[in-house]
Amino acid sequence: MHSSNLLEVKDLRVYFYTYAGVVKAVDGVSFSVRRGEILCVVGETGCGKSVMSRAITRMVKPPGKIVSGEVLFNGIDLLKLPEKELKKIRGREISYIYQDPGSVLDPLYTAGFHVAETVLTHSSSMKFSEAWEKAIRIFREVLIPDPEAKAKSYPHELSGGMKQRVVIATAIANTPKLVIADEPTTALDVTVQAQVMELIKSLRDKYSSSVMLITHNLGVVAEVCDRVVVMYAGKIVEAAFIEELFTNPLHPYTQGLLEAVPNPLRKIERLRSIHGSVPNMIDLPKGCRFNPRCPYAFKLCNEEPVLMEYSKDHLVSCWLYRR
Amino acid sequence: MLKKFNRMSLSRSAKPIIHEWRLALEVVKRSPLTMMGLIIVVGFIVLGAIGPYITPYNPIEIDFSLVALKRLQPPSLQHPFGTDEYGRDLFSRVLAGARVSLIVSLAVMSIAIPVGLVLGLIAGYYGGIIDEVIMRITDVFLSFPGLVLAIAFSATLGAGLFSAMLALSIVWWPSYVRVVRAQVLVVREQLFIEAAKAMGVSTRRILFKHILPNSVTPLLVLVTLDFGSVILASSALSFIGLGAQPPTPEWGRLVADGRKWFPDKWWYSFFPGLAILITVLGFNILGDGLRDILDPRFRRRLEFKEVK
Repeated sequence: MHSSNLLEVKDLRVYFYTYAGVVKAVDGVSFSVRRGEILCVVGETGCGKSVMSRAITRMVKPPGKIVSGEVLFNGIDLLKLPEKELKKIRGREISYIYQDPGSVLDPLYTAGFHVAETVLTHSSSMKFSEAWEKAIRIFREVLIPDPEAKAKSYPHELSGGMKQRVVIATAIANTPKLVIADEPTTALDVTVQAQVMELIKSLRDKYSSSVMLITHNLGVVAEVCDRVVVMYAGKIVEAAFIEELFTNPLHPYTQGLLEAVPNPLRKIERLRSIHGSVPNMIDLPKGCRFNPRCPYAFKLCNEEPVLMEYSKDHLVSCWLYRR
Repeated sequence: MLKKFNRMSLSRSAKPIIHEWRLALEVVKRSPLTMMGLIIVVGFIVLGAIGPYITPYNPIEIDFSLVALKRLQPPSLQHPFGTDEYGRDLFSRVLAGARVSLIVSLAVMSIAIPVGLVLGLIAGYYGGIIDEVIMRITDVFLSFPGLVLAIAFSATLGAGLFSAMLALSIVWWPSYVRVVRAQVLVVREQLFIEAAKAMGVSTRRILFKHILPNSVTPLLVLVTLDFGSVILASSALSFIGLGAQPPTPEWGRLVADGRKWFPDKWWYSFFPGLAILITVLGFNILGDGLRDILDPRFRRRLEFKEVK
């Protein structure tokens, strides 16, 4: 059992059953995370990135429901695994780094406690003092200055960047095979963002674990990613290696995204933006979901496109590239 | 003031827990009323613990040789609260009564709080049908006036201190279920609970190590206030003859016994009544003070003052 894919998501659908109607937050998403790679998931707010990442370990809260699909992790379908077995995977094999480090840490416990708790959860024979020492070792690894003192600090005594390091320390405490980082730098200021990204990258190199990085910041994508998946309104519109995507973006949405990023090398009068706004997820446009905003839309776009291979490792879901 | 502020900010970074206590003490010091409440409550607890050992006279035994001589004497130096119809020293009886009230309130709380906590925690965390069942049962209890229900239970169980405690415990837990559940509903939506789940932490551990400690703060105030209410309710039960039976020196019972002689022998009912009043008042103002200490807005003001 050693395929190059660590995680394989097949036709994942997560729907939210609200009073206003069914929100198809994730609607038939398929992708894979390869061993040791950093995969970026890019998309606008509300396109289903976070929900999709939570669905991987069945962390979707009601009224959200995983309707169908397969999440193969090392060949095991996590969606069919009993809760008890899944608990052993959460935090040990797959762990999360959340967006807002300020509210991820329990205000009543010290920074070190959070890491020690995660360690103890997955090795019950360990003593608390041993777990604490391990926590301090990990703190040193994530470059927290004065780890002994910081481990005894409460979350409100730490800065945002420091808290995010603690969260990262918690995430890597059991050297997981997959780290899912959900916009880990959004709540941090730019200089700290760079440090945190650098840290995530160096940890990947050290443990050769895979990272799934969810972000809407294309700068971050260019900086650290190996491969990119672009999501729009609950569907994947394009997936490619980073260089391929930046040099040869296929989907009109990806093109729009890239044009909306300022490029110091190209002198342009003003930045382009994508017309219109994200569709109402309850009342989606017929056919291609990008249709109403797409500058190239034509007749065929009233039917739903499928994700197809444009070239090797470059997938796109757009009628412009049909063969 | 500046010097003081420096000291406080230093202690904050070094030992946060001590800082918390210091800040709490500072708030108490600033509010004379809370201080008074604290003194009364501590005094009550101390008297409850040692009261029966320091009474100047035996509070229960009747010295029949002295009944005629000492009967219903007004307050004097010898008997500060006067004497009852059997010539017993009322001061000693009131003092001994502190223990009865303390035991009753502690017993009721030690049943009502755990029951309320566990049920509230389960109802709030799991939701759905479990929540529905627990809360509807709670609603049934809460739809009757507490004291009336307590009277009914205690009358059914038979008069006596033990049945009074049991009856009060039965009526007291539902309000805690509500408070805890409401708090759990807030806390369980916090990101750190989801994060703990995502790290594979067991449900029991999440409930008791993360949700519970984050939910008990409002309960602390309620419990303090309720201590007074339980004392009042148990006195009420004893007053109508359902709680403590003679010769137990219970405050409510003493007030009821003195009623026969009121207003001529006013001290008989007056002093036990005063004891109830002061104790309940003490718990109430301490509860109010605690609410202020635990209210972040109030504290923010205080910390801000410190900077000036």
